[in-house]
Amino acid sequence: MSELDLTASVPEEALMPHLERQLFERRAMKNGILTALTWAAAILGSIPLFSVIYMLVIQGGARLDLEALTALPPAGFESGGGFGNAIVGTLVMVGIAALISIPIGILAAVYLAVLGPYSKLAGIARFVAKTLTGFPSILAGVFTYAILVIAFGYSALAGGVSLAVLMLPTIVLAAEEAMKQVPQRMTDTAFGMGCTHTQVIWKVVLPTGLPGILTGVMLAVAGAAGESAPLLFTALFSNYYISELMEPTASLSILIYNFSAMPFENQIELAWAASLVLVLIVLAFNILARLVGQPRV
Amino acid sequence: MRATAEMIASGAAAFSPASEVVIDCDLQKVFYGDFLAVRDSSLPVEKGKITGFIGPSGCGKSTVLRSLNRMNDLIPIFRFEGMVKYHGQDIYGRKVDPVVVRRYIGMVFQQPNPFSMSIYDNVAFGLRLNRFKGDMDERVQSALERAALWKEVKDKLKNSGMSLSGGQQQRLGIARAIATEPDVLLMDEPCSALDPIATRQVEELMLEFS
Repeated sequence: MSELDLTASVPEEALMPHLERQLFERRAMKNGILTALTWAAAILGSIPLFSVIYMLVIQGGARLDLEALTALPPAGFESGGGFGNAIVGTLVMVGIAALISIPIGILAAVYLAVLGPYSKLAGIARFVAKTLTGFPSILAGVFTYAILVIAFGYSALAGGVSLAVLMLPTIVLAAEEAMKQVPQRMTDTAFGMGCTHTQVIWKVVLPTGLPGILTGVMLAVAGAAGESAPLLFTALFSNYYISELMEPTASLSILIYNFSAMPFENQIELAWAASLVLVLIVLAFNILARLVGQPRV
Repeated sequence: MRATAEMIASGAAAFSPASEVVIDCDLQKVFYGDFLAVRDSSLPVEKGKITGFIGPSGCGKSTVLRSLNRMNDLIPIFRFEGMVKYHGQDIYGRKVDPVVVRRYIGMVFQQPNPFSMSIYDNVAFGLRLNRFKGDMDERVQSALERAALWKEVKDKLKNSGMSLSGGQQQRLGIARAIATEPDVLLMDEPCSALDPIATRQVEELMLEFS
């Protein structure tokens, strides 16, 4: 073969493949419009969160100081004051809810994902959990009212139980999903080495699925921290710091609910500041969920 | 060498260290649900020999292999007719614990699958299961040496097993399986996911063990 003749005339332009971008060609236009739409939708979806945070910082930021974070709620015409007891109350009740729902949720998920995934009981439990995720939160309050409050009165414990009812399905489903992601060849290997079921769960399934499980737990905690309806029926409110678990207890969400409807400027300002704190707590748990959910190599 | 590679890559191999029959089996019928996966298969596995199965894919090689250490028990629809004798004992006997069977008859799988823990912990895994009381470091090192992986990982034993290459991961799997010194090692196409060089290393390893 002879060498390529570089001096040969360039073929006619019409015969060359046309590679340049054509904005107004039909498919390109369709593609462009759809891409723009998804962009717009993504931005639109982020507006509520950012506008809420913006408004809270503007309205509540001014009152957010050490006094607001530690002092007790003010009475009618008082100035100053804060919501320290509500922050503590929210954290205590979310803590109680976590203590109840995390162990039960993870153990239930172990059953659903590993021990009896195809059993009848698993099918029922999964269905119940999925239904409960869409459960109106106020009904969790009514339920706890019926089983605890009628007998023992309003308390932090009852508040924690009602939040646990709401957290449980989220944890069960997220933890089951996380454990199902553990590849079967990994569990097979462990069984192949002579592990019992317990050893496989404890040494392989739980550690490998841990980031996903923690993400579910954090999201459930974040959701529970912001709940108000169930607490109305269970923990009520208190103007003092919590001293025992069996007494009515303050929470941020109920404080916001109460103060925002008051005719006093001071209380309304505190409601804004408390909203900001609540959003920051929820945000912190969400960010934590993202951090622990990141795959580690 | 080439022929060996073909044979092992397309089949499954069982080997046992140190010529008596270790496993004698007669699989009359193996079902998955209504599907008859394997019938009328019998073979003796002799001590100190590499026994290989070859056949087209889907013919039941893995099923036979998984029947030899009761891995199939983990599949709920599995049904077994026949017998598998290990040193004369029926491993499907009424009083036999499949978990214990698997401690004597180890297994290496097709895909490399390190646990998400350090290289050291991967190899020590089986030893810890058996509450091994001796010198752990020494056993881990010797297992890695025998799996021809020690030189490559000796300075990064704390790194995750997942950080190794595919071929290294498979050899890590072998090191993990041999650390407990199982009597018999079942290998289900251990080289199918490996490149020719890693395949050769694994094959040389198997020859060394036999």
